[in-house]
Amino acid sequence: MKKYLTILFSMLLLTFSTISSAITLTDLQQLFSKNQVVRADFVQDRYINGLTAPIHSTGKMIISKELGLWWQQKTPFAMTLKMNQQRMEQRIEGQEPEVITAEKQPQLFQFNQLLTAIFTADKDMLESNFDITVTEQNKYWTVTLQPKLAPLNKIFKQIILNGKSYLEKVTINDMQNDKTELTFANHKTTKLSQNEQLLFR
Amino acid sequence: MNNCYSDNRLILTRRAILWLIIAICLIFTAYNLLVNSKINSSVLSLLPKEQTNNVPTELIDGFQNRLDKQLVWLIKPANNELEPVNWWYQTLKKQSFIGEVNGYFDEQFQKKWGEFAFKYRYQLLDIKTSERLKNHTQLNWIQSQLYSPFSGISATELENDPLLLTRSSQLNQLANSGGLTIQNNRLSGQDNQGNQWYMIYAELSDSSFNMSQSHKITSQLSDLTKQLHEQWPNVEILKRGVLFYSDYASSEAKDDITTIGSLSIIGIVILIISIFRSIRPIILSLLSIFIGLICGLIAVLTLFGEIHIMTLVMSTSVIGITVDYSLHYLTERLLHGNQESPYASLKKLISTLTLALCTSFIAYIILLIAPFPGLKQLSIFAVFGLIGAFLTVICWYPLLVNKLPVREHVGYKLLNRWLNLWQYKQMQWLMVSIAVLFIGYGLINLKVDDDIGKLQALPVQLQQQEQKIISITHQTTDQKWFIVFGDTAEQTLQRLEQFSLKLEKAKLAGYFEQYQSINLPSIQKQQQNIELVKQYSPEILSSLTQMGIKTKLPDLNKKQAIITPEEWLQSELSQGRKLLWLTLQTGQSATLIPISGIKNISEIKKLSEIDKGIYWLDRRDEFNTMFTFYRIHLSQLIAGAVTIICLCFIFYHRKYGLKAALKSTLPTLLSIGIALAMHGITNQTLNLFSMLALILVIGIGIDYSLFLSNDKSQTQSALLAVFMAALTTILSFGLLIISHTVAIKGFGLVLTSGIFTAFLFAPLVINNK
Repeated sequence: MKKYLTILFSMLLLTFSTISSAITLTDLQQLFSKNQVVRADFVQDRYINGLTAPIHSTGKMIISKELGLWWQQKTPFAMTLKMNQQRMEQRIEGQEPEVITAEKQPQLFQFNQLLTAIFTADKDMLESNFDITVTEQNKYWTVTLQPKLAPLNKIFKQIILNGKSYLEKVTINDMQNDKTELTFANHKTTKLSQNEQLLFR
Repeated sequence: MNNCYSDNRLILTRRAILWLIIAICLIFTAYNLLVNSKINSSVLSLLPKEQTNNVPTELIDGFQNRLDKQLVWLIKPANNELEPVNWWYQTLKKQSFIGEVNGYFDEQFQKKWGEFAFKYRYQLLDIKTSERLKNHTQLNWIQSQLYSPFSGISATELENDPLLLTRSSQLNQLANSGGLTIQNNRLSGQDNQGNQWYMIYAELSDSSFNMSQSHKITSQLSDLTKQLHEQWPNVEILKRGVLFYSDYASSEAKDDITTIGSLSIIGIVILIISIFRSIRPIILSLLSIFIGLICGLIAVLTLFGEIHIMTLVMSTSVIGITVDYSLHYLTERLLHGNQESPYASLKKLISTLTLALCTSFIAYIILLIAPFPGLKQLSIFAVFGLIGAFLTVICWYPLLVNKLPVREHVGYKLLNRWLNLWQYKQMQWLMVSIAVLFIGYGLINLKVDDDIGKLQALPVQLQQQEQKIISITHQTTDQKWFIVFGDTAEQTLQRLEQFSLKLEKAKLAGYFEQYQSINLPSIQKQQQNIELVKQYSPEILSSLTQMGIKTKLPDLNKKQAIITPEEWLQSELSQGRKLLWLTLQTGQSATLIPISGIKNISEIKKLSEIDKGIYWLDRRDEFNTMFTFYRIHLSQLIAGAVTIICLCFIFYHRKYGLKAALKSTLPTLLSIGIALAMHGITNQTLNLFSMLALILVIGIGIDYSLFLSNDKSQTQSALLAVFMAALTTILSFGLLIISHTVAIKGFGLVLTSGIFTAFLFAPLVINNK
């Protein structure tokens, strides 16, 4: 059952965009909190066994240290997600939004907490949930997260993060041998405009 | 009646022998009854059985019984290590008094859970998913899952359940899961500091434990807690359960009985020795107390089949009244033993004694009106206890007082001085004015509050633990819920489904935050769900095919199995919700819907439709309404009774003039006034219990006026007897003040102050003579 909960993982991992070159987790943790705001465009491809073609989607996202995550898929259909420490809202165009709060649906929300830990590189939290390897080559770093506890280890084989100044690529390998690749580009760190701030409302 | 007590010794002897035979039989009966009896210590059984609603009592009792059996622990291991949690779980399982232990959901369990949910995915369709099917948005939802990189959708899932119905229904259910999550295969929650607590809950194997058994269980459990702390010193553990509260209450009550009972006996013995200077009156008094108690006990055990621990506590106060009859007779003998025969003494007192018995008798009988089982037992106990003591006095005493030493002038000076004081008009005015001022001050501060719940002095430590548990689990214990019931399980479930729609609306309107209901659809609903899937699946499947996802739905036309309530109960799916469902042997069924985060109680109440088997159940609220009703009812009764009593006094004393006649009503009126004022002065609120205490104040306090205005006996002996009777009564009611139970304490305070006042002002009546 719990494997379904991982839906929430989706957007959360993207909160990784503020990574700059670092070798240890502690270094990463410090660098993660350097930028107040990071914006990026994303391209996502999901390879599910048995499907003839990968599931392809694109969109953009904003991460604000203060306001949380705003994520918008533009193609093939519009889907928006907003998330902060207390609340997650997902909206498909033309439909009632789905809202999950930490207080009322902790079972659904607990992934959020974990992933926020990834976002902030919360060393303690990550180390208690994953086996972590950090490597660096030509200033290009790779973090490999291997879940060690249920339910994460039932769903994910490995989560790999790559980047240089920012997080550039996330690869998620499922236990079912399915794979998801997320690529980020056009990172910007300017302050939030007023319009952008409204997006988080 | 008087002629029975002429100097015919033979008749008296026969009477005494007859009563002896009866008494011996009574003792044997009492012994037999006691051996087979049960002492009830459940606090809940003290609550009124009477119902203001039409929900079948068996259903409410059934749920109540089950709730009584629940025990909950939350454990916070240091460093999140799981050994202590496991140890507690395993150790509990080994206890014979524990029926079932929960809180550990291993992979096997989770697998079975998933299999069941998958097998019956069409039948178990939830409201939200069926809505999505109907308005053609399920496809969009499936897409959103497909495009979520972390949804973990696999080819296997798509192939077996292309509509993602299992996923959809289960996710929607989780959205209502409350404050708990599953971590490391265990039920767990977080406190405000982010600490992880693990929950283990168990059910006692039996709900009808008696006092000593439940005490054994609680001490066994606290031993286990000690062992836990010895092995893991930094582990914190919280507990919750009716068992803990009722054990606490009954051990307090046990203390009360021992202290109050023995202190009032000791007090009476000291009093008698100091006045009578002889052992015989003590033995005689104890004899009548003993026979009285035996009679009370037999009556209660025969009529109720059990005796409540609180009845025993309250009954200790009856000692002080049963001894009154002995005291009146013995005092008469003490003072006038040389001048008159034992029969003459009896003859002199018999009418007043009978009258006094009647007033106390009536006062206690009125207590029967109140809907409290505990008070009913007390009332029966007192009525029969008083009769037993009374009969002992009139049947045996004339034969047994022969060698009683006579002390004609005992307390003469003191009492005379006391009487003389009351002769002065100024003294009378002064005393009455002081009393009136006192009453005025008290009445200004008098507050009415019918919330009996406030009278419960719950142990602080248990309450703190409970508060913490509530803050972690978000599961309150205030027992506010809807009950949906029907003649059959199917009817109940169909009613539940109808009602759920209204509840959803009420929730959207913001009347409350959450509700929890069982996840079992009616047979009708299950069939409708299957039809729904049949109807809407082709369009979704063809769209999926267009997207390049090759899927196919299993043949829906072949007959689908239906989940019965029995299967549901046995399945993993009902885990954590079983408690909300109850089926009686008659087939009558009911389900509870706990409501949390209540914002608009009056709108919620309006959702009740008793004829459709839906009722808002808030026991505390219902009790309060009931208490208000009885308080008003009883205060009218008291007002009526007091008017009649006063008129009788006025009529009786009319020959001494209007002023004197009016004055004779003062002791009664002042005693009521002071008893009421005591509430304001001691910051107690006026409630149903106060009314009950007032009834006794009137019924017992009136005796003093009666004895003092008895023309046949001399004032001095009457005053001494009244003095001692009042002292013993005040002693035993006064001792209720040391009780640990707030309600009993207040009861004792009101009684003592009222009866003391009645005694203090009783000389106002004598002056008329």
